Amino acid sequence: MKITIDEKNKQKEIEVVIKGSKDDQRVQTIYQTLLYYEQSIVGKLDDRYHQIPLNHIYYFDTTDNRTFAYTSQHVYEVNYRLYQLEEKLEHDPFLRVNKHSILNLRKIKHFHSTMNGRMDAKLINGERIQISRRYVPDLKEKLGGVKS
Amino acid sequence: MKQFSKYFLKTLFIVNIIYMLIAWIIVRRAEVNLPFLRLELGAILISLILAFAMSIYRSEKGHPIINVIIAYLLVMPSLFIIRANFGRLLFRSAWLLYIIFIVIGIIYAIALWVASKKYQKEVDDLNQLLKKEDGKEKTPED
Repeated sequence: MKITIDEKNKQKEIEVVIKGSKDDQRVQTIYQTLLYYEQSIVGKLDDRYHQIPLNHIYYFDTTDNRTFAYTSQHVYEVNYRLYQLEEKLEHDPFLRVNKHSILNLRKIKHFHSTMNGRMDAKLINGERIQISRRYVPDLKEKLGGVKS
Repeated sequence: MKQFSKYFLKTLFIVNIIYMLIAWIIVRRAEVNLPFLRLELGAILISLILAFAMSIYRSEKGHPIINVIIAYLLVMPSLFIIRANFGRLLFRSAWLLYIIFIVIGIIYAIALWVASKKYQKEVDDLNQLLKKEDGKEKTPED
């Protein structure tokens, strides 16, 4: 694979051209990875609707049947149920990690086990999200390991 | 509540078996009549305490270490219920109760050690995968 970064044109917007067959698995993977930086989701904050880029979201969480998207600065209410988000973000680095949260895997700093036999993911903003045992195989697979 | 009920039913089943066993031994050895209704009430009360302690222990809220300590302290009153149920037939001397306190503490510590190790391998694997996957600096707007 040939990778070129052209810095000659000082353009503000990044332009990516993928040259290859659409059917190539690698092309599809690159395309999906790039989409992560392009996609956004609509969230409500103080009665105003905002476009939240996916790469700004740390995790989604549900409380009292309402779903919230957590970024480093704000908490937005989103108009999706958790299972809908799961389907929508299937190809993005998001994964359901417990009954009420979907986590952005790119925001994980590290994992650690707690004294009472549970597993936590520490995020780069210092927050901790609990990982349920039943989602660990999917997590391994999504991180490029073997599902066990 | 659903989780609490699960814990309660499980502990009630186990506590009842243990109570029946103790009662059977006492009846055979001391040839006394035990108040079985009181014993059953004691078993239910102990199961409620244990279910509550387990719920606190497994709770997602609060600090894990604090939860572990609270759960241990919550278990202790159940010993007094056993003592109230069987009295001197089971606890011939008062110091036996304190020895049981210590024994439970040791068992609890071992259980904690096992629980903390249970996930260690998986945690190590996941951290390894995470390192491999991103081998790059992470920024808040990655």
